[in-house]
Amino acid sequence: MTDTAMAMGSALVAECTESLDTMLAETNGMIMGMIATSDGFVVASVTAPGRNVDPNRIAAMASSGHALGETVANELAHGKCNNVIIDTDQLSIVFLSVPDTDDSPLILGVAATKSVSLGTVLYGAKHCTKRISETVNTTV
Amino acid sequence: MEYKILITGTMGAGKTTAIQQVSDSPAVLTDVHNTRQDESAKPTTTAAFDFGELDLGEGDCLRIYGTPGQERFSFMWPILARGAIGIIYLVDATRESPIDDLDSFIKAFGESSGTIPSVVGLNKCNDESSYLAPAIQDYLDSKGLQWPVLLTDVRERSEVLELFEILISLNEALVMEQA
Repeated sequence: MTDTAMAMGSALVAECTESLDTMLAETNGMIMGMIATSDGFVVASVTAPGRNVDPNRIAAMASSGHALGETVANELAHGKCNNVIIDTDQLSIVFLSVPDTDDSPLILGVAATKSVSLGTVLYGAKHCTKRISETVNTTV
Repeated sequence: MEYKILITGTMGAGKTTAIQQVSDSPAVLTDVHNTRQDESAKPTTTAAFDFGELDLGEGDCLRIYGTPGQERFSFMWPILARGAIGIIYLVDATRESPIDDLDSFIKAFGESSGTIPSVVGLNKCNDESSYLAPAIQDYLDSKGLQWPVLLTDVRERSEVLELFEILISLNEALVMEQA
């Protein structure tokens, strides 16, 4: 468990991990789910079997990518950044804001193969952010 | 002529402040909530980069990029260093091991460290840190790096501009050597 995860408490981390497990189980093709702080520390992460992902590196990249999204949104005066989508030949990668975590913002990072539509990935991921938000706001 | 300059250094070394002091337009920041108050009491930290612009007149312009300071964001450093004509290494004199901090950044920039004109700015100096400038110079000499070391206060626009002027001069000298 990372220092950040320990600071947030094992019960909260366990519930976040369970929500990520559920998201992966319910969304075909999803290969990774991760909750990170907005400054790039892992809170919880799950990876599909056979996939090799370093969650610490991805958490830092999620932080940078999401922060850039926020900055572009601010520059164009179009409000908060809800998500940042990276489309590759093989994967859809999305970094989403977890709602109602303004005091200590959290990001959900997901990656899915192209066997599943982006809409399905977004649906599963947004559903997960709501569960994480409820967990955080009832546990903290 | 457009010049790209990179400012790097540890979290809290003064990179964002330096850019804010000199940028003609409001600096582009990618600040996020800092969850590690034990590492730095700053409420926010840079997650991607800072960016500012400075018109030098006569058609010349500086594009100034600041890196995130923490090692976990090191994947951003080579991206931001592309095309830079100079690097400012800001060193926080109040940290426990400023020379080790500088050493880790010089190593992180690898080959760029030996080829790109660079200057070291020693920020947040106090009476106890007077030994640091010569110690840093000795360290650079041991690495074969002939870089200027300046005591600086990045809250002062003129002192940040001085760092830029040195880098541009070093770059001009390099261009003349290569011609």
